[in-house]
Amino acid sequence: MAAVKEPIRLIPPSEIHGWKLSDAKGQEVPPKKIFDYMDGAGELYLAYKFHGLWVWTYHRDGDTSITVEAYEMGSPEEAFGVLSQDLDGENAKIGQESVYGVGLLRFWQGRWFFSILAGVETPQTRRAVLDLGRAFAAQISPEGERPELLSRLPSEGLAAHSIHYFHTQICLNSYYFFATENLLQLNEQTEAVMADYRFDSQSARILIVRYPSTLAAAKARAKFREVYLKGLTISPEPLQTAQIENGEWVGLRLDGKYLIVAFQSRVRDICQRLLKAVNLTKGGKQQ
Amino acid sequence: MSDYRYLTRRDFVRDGALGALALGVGAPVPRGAFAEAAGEAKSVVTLVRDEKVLDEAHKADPAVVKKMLDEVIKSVTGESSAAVGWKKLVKPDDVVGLVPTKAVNPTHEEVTKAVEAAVAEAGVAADRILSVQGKKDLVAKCTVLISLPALKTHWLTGLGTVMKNYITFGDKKASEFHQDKNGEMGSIWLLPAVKGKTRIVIVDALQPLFERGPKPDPKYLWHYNGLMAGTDPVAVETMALAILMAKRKAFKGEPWELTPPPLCVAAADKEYHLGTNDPSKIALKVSGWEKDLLVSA
Repeated sequence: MAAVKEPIRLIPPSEIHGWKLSDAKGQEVPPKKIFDYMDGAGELYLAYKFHGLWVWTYHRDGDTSITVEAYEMGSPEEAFGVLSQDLDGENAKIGQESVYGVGLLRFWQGRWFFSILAGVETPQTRRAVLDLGRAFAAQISPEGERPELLSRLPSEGLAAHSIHYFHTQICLNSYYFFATENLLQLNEQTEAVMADYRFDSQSARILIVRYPSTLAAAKARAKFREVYLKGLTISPEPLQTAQIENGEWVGLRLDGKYLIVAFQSRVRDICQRLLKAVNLTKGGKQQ
Repeated sequence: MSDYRYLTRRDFVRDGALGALALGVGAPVPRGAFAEAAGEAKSVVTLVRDEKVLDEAHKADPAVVKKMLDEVIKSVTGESSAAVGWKKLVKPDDVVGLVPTKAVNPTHEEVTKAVEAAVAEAGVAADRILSVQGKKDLVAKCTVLISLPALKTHWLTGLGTVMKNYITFGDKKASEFHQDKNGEMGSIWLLPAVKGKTRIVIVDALQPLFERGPKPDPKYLWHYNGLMAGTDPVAVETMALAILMAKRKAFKGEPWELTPPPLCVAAADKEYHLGTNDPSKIALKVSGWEKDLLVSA
């Protein structure tokens, strides 16, 4: 992962299509104050190595206000991770990756994640929101790429907007519920990517977790098997599959530091195909 | 369902419809399940909607809010006038704590103000009407609480409406009621400072949030234009969940489960006995705008 580089001082435009900046200094929110700014929501950003937030507001007489939030994250991967909470929406082609819908623009550029929101969407607010996004994106050099772990996802059948990149159980639980316990033993040192797959009338999901060590990966698989697959008939390695009570198949593949879980599939073969299709080696060597 | 603190998806699957309700998988509420029936007493939940309460800028019209609130109070108390109904809920010597939601899709100020005005008209002096959200010390001084949560999902608790509205009154940090611990939010309602004080829960369902956040994404907000209320907090919460799940299903075109699972609803009934989450024991009374109601009486 890229290290944090020189600080970037963002300069908000003083005006955009008639919306005027209310305070050029804006509001600075350090990690310790994140819950004062967004009670009940700060955990998301802290889960992605949050460094700080700057907030600016724009007003236009008789119109809705526009709020710009610029989040400095620990790395480009983390900035993408925040965006990947929800990739569903219009690609506004702003920053390195963006999503727009109903007055809200979200994008990442370098190690920054931006959220720019108009209280009400109109053609005028849409133009202002998008142009504000372009003005901020222009101040940051493109840096880094999507997390390397995403390249392990099989491409066939992938629903691109369904990708989530994260580290911890708190994020997994907001995307898919396996158990109240942290069966996969996720923590700040683990990297995970989850995505949906569609194959004609069939569907499935896949979760790839990279652990700091092969031992950690093996322990996580053991815990998952012990609790989640308890009492089920499990096929032998290397692709362990089992059918849960609602007819869905769950499959596991342990390979070095990686644990792959395929799930929510009505067809065993799809589980197995997905598990096999995950490419864990680059240049013949596991990363 | 077994101990809700150690659950897996398979536990919900094995529990069938109840498990589906706890997991928020779909709307396991058959048409008419909330209908009033003779015989066993039911928890009554009132839903009042008005097409004109919100404008295009999402602003609430105070006059329409007041009219809706009057209807809610008449329905909940069974009185022919709201003024008389309020006098059943509060007395002049009460200290009344209003508990609106402040964070993440907050309660509309117009709703809170309408309730405050009605309580004052019922004879409670202004200095005995307190805004107590987030103020545990003031809650202890109240003899009556009026809960005014907004209808919303929440990315850390699944559902963020009735049970969660008292999260700041708990005996531990709010974060300790998140995730797998969201089932424990019902325990807050049994703390001495809170227990037995909630005379009515009025849910602001004017513009609910039906997908997680953590900050509201406008594509997951919609004009439902409703106020929903009752004296059984769990029954009101159950209806709140039913509306959100029906909206999620309509949005996706297929069942769209809520994660993390809103364990708080079933636990409030089975563990803390605060009311019922059994649809067959809930009577829903609906009045006003009927378009896209999502639930049926």
